Amino acid sequence: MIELVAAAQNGDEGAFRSLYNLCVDRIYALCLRLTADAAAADELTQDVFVRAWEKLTSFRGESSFPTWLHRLAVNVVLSERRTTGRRERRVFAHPDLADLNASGRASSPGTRMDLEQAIAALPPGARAVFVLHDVEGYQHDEIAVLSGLAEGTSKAQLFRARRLLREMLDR
Amino acid sequence: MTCTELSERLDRYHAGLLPTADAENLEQHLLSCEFCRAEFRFQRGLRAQAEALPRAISPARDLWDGISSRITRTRTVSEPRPAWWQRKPLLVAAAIALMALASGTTAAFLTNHDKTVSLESAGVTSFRMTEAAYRVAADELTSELARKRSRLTSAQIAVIEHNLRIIDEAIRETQAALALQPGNHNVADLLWASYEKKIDLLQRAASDVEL
Repeated sequence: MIELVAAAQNGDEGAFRSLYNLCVDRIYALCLRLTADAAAADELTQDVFVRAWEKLTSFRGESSFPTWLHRLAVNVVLSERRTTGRRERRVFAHPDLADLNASGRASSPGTRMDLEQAIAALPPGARAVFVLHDVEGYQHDEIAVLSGLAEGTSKAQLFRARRLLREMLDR
Repeated sequence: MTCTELSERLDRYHAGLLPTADAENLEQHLLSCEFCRAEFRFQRGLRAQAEALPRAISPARDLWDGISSRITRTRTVSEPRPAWWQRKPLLVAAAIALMALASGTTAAFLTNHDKTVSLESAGVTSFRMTEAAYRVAADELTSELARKRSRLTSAQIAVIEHNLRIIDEAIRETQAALALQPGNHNVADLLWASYEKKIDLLQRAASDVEL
């Protein structure tokens, strides 16, 4: 991957395409969970890779390329939500999420679909913090930096998200 | 250890990051508090489920063409955004939204009685802990902004204080509605939205002062 990154930094679009192929599923999953909107996830995934192409020269290898790209994706999605206030269209039966059951990738499909649907039904702010903290493993101080939220706000949103999830999953 | 203190430490406990003495206090509290035991079990299960979610999902269509047509070798230079108080339309929209929120609280209270469910004591505790978390966040930002007050113009301070008064009024009205009907989830959601507006306003004001 290091060679691909170096080539892409020198303007090799084919190398960048290879990086896209390696990373797109990871980025799309993040965008889909953060937005709960398949169309928005498509657009934002494209935005992430366009932004990555523009900022490739700033990648110095302090972290791995997937880690750098993931943080960039979080930044793109949260910035987009802040600046445009895109109206969210929630998906409760999104084909991508439904496919998780059909593909057999789930160890406990019923339970996981329940959780995916419940996450999608969370209010945007609470959903973003839950996805970043409990699914993606970011800490509150990192979420604060990435999202522009205060660390205390991140904690409050996570608390609220878990409370709402409990209500939904206990039904 | 109180229920709120336990709640604040639970993540670090699950991650094995809590100092031994605090972990022992937490475990002692769990032995004596059914509410926190239930919360502990729920969060442990939720963490396990969340960690088991797939990290990769293929998009339904190939997105590359849309990327390829947009990427160029030209490095773009982004223009600086104006400070938030210069974005008048945003402020006006926020003020209108908050006024609608305040009056909407009453409307929701009056029209959604059928959606009201009775909260049990555990739910009330959970609600109060959520509100406490929001208050802490708002208080921290208020203190931060107060420290930076000398760097704001009187016009900026006036705009901030005007918007905060609107938000605080929305919070008070929503709290009053909830006091009369504590199980109304629609009103509770309005309360969280009000707190988030306040935190967002304080956050943007505090961060713009740093620019």
